[in-house]
Amino acid sequence: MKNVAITGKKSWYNKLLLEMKKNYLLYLMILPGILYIIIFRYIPMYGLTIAFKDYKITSSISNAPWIGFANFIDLFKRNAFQRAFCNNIIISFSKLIFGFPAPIILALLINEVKRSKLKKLVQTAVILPNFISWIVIYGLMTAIFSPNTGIMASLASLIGYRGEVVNLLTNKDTFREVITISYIWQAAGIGTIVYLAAISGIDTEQYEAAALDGAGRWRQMWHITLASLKPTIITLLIFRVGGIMNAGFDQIFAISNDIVISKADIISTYVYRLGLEQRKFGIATAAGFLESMIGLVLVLITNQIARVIDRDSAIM
Amino acid sequence: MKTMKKIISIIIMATMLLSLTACGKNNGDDKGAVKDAAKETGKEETSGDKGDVAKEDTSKRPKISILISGDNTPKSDNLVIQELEKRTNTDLEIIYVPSKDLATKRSTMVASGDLPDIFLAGGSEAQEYIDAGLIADVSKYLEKDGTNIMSNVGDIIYTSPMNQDGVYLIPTGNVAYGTNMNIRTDWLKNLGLEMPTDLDSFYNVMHAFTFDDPDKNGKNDTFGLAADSSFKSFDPIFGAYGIPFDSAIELEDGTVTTWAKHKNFLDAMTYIRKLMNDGLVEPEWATITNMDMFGKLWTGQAGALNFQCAGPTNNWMPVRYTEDPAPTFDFAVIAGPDGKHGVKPNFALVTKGYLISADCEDVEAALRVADYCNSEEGNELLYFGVEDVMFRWIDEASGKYEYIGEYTDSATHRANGGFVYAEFMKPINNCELRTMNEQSKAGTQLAYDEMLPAVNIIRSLETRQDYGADLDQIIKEMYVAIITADGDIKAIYDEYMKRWDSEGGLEYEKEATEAWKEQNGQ
Repeated sequence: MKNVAITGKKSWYNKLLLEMKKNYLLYLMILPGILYIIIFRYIPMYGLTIAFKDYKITSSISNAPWIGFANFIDLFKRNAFQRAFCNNIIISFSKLIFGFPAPIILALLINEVKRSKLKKLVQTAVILPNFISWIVIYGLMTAIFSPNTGIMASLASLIGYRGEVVNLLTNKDTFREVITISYIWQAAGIGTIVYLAAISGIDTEQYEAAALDGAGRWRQMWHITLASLKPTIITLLIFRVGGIMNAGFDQIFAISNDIVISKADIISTYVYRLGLEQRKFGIATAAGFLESMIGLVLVLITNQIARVIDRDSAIM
Repeated sequence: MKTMKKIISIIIMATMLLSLTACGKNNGDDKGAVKDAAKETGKEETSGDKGDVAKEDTSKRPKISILISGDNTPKSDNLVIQELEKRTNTDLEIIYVPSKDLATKRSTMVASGDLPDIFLAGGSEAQEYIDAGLIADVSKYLEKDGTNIMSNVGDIIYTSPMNQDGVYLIPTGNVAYGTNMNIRTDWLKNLGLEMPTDLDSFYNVMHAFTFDDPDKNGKNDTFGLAADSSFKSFDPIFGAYGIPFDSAIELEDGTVTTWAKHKNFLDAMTYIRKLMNDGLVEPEWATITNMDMFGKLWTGQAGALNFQCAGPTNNWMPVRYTEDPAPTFDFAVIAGPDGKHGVKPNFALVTKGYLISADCEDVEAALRVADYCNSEEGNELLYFGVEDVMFRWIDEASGKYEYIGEYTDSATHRANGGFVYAEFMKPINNCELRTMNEQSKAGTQLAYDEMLPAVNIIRSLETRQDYGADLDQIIKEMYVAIITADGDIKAIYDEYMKRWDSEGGLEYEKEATEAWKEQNGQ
């Protein structure tokens, strides 16, 4: 029995060596990628131990004493973290629910444009916001919503409105909507590329056959285009859910202010304040660690659901 | 064909590996190389006698890095830094960061083991660096290379709790300016109004500045007070209610606590809300940046600004103002319901100052740079720029000077290093004070005289270190929540203060009260 196991192991090892020898150029080409993942993704994970240590910025991680879950307990005691956690969930889900379908809808609409020049123009126009930084977007938003010098105020004045123009950037009741809408405006366009690429791969004969069977545009879109996009949608959904706890540090850091912070502060902005401004690295790492673990659990759950819906769409 | 495939594959792989290694740390030598290359191509030579500097063999000069904060945008290698390098025989690397990012930058640099040679820090943070052996003891160099430092802060340097077994922290020594409510007197004259002296007359003036066309241009394009979301914008309003904002105060029962627990706090907030709600204050106060807020004064949109008068009546006068003739100002002292008035106090801190890294390759040279900047001559260079290139004295004895050539433009002057580093190692008798116009001198003195009493605990408190930032954040949020609230402000206040108490505030009160009693020998 033992001999069989050793032989089995040896044979697997030999097979791999043989495979590597045969395709050594391919393996050499993948080497930098593997090295990149190890150096920049796996080795830094050692820093996660800070979450379980009494780490001081002036000492090394290895010398810091282990303190178990003390950092996590301290973290959960802080109201500011509880608030950031809740905001994170609300903003993330809002972005997922409203932001995830946006590129799909946009791709379907763009696909219906038959004039190729107009199609390219629309495609370029919706993708462009993705290349604008959040600082610039904030500048644009100020230029639009400023109650003093903004376009909205000028338009209101033009039509004779003399009342107060609400500054959406300082209104905490609507600020989460501002976050979600500005996110969709910025990110939806780039997402359409993937869906448009997937749509272009659909066999056109299916549409012709459906048309012969009397299916209209709506039926064709539903039963052919969307059905063909299903594996792509599920795969991208799994990736998106994996990053759900990432509610958008860049965006919120750039556009939030003291008035709206109670509705906009998320885990990553809180971690930034706690870690880099207050030098509480242990607690900040604990918050980051927790954020990642929730993301991992959500990915596994989504993957399982995807496996049930469509076995081939699951990524693991 | 097969050989070609192999060659291409190997080239691609090598390129990818190289790009991986290129992500590594860029060391100081590389920076030097880039700098040298820039010098060779003459890119950094713009004017003046820098050509001579470039010709010298600068490679042997000790390299000193300095972390400085400020809200201007100087060129990375400018006339002032080149001149400072020449005068101190050093090769300087200035890391200039926005003021609000200073703590973050410092933490990042410490965490990455790349501490700047000279930097500003204070309180428990500085103590932590000293305890960890990250800071150099400069006591043995002070006599020879620290003469200016000793003449400026020699009397307090050894009183710092951080300097008990050596000299690690060079205290800033200066008592920061108090603030003045700068009010446009030309607008007052246009409207036939007097300088406000109490809360009612201040309201009336702000109202008139907003609605009565104070610049007489026939347009509704002005408002009263330029302000942002900082408490400082309303310093004398809090003062009128006897509240030193952002300071610890002692309650009647002897408890040391936050200024927000002052018995008149809500009254002060009610008055500020009235100014805001009646549209007499900058409408974008919550999002406006510091420089944009100043801009409202410079361009004649706002008629008042609470800020140290060194800005409005001295440094900005007249070049920053766009109106012709430039506006005129005076300073209002605003009395409250009980006749009280005042502004936030500042103290000569002995627990905040400049530190020299223990990793600094040449501590003596670093101290030499710090000491030179602490001299009148060094401060003059940092404040005015290079003499006869950027400015010239008209009458040095009486402090009269003028900027020359392109440096009459304030933006050009600052881009070339003038003024932007002036806070670094600023001596007590600095050239800003020495050359101030009479009105600003009087205003500065007025602000010092107006400083309210407050609690100044010298030793660093553990509870401040643990909860301080969260507690300050609660007060800040409460302040904006009250200003923007529609409903019962007392309920909002109580809710936030309950949070303040439960999130470490009560522990802070206990420790601060004990420390204050101990400091006063009780």
